[in-house]
Amino acid sequence: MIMVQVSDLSDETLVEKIINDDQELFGEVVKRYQDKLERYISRLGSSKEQSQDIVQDSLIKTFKNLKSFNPKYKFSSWIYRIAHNEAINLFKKESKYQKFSFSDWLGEVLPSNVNVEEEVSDKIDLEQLKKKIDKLDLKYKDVLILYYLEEKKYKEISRILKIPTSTVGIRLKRAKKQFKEICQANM
Amino acid sequence: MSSKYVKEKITSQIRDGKLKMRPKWYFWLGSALLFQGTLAVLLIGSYVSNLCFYALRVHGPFGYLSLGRAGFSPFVATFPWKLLLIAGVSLLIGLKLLQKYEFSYTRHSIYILFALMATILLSGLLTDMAGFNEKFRLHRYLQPVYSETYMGHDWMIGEIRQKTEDGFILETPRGDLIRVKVGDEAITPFGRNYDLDKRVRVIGEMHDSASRSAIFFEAKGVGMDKGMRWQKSQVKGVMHSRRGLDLVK
Repeated sequence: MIMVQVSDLSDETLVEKIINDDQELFGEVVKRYQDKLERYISRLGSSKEQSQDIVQDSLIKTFKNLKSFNPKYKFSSWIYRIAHNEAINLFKKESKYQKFSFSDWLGEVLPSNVNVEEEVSDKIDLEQLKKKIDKLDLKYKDVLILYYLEEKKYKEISRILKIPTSTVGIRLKRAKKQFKEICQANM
Repeated sequence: MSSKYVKEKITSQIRDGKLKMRPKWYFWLGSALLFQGTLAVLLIGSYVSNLCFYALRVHGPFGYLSLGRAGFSPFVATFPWKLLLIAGVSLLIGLKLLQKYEFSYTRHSIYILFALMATILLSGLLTDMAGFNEKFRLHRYLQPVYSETYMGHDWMIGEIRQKTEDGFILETPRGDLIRVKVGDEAITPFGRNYDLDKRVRVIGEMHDSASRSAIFFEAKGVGMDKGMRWQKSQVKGVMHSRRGLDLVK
């Protein structure tokens, strides 16, 4: 009999196993997604601690609602959407949309003994770049982060943000345009 | 918080039974309630829009505007503002409910809104055209919905029953008979040819008196244009009680 490692299972099969066989296997979902979601939420605009809280709440919510997951869609899109909604709800509650600064976040996530300039001086000025991304409207920032940094496809972004695929394309185009304008203005 | 810590925390909660998955029936119930809620909102919206069409058909409120400045107040009084507001609210609630469906994110909200609006308006229009209101209004429980008046302090609608020297006798759809005096200064954009059974809208002022036989309506304007389409044959009972008959005896 061939034994299949839990880590080898696809997300969707793993979810099926969690529901039907062993709920504690949800730990594997935590292992797979905690860091990814934390990184995504931080990029969206929250501090490190806040991201951790959001992700923990999202994971709990995911587990509670696991039986509502439709296996014909990708699990990763579903869990990203839950985390995204949690973050947006929290931002709205705290009106953090405008206040957040990517560079503040950078200061928090990087260890204090790291010299940012040295770390990024080889090719691009990362801090400058992130400051520019900060200036983007949130709706463009979302798409840009998901597409370029999280490397999600249009369809996945569409499911995470609950917008039509065509809108993802339009927003991405506008995000690039706005980003270009910001870069030109700073030259 | 390390990944291991969170993993441990969550799995221990699961192990201790502190963290539980919601059962499948919870989601089925949610879906069923959502479906019923959406259906109810659609039905209410369609019925209210049907009432709007009915009110516009019976009163033809825009017709008052052809009678000059004095026609504005009857227009405001007979236009179905409240119904439109209710229809608008049900439209927005319907949109919010539809957005909870999985299919909704693949379509732009504006398309969903237009589709919803078209559904509500079309079903309302068809219900009214099919003459359901004339049947509904006879139903005991629906009578309060149709308890609209056919005359206000400065307006009324009805059919000409008899010509008089200074005007005509008007019968409202409810069966009230009222003497209407049309002075020389009255606005009559459609002439003064008062054929019997012709439907008219009149604006002016009711002259009340201690003696019921002296009650009359002094017309400042008489309109005979579109609107005011009610189905006489199906208006029975309360509608044809002729309870105002003594007003002209």
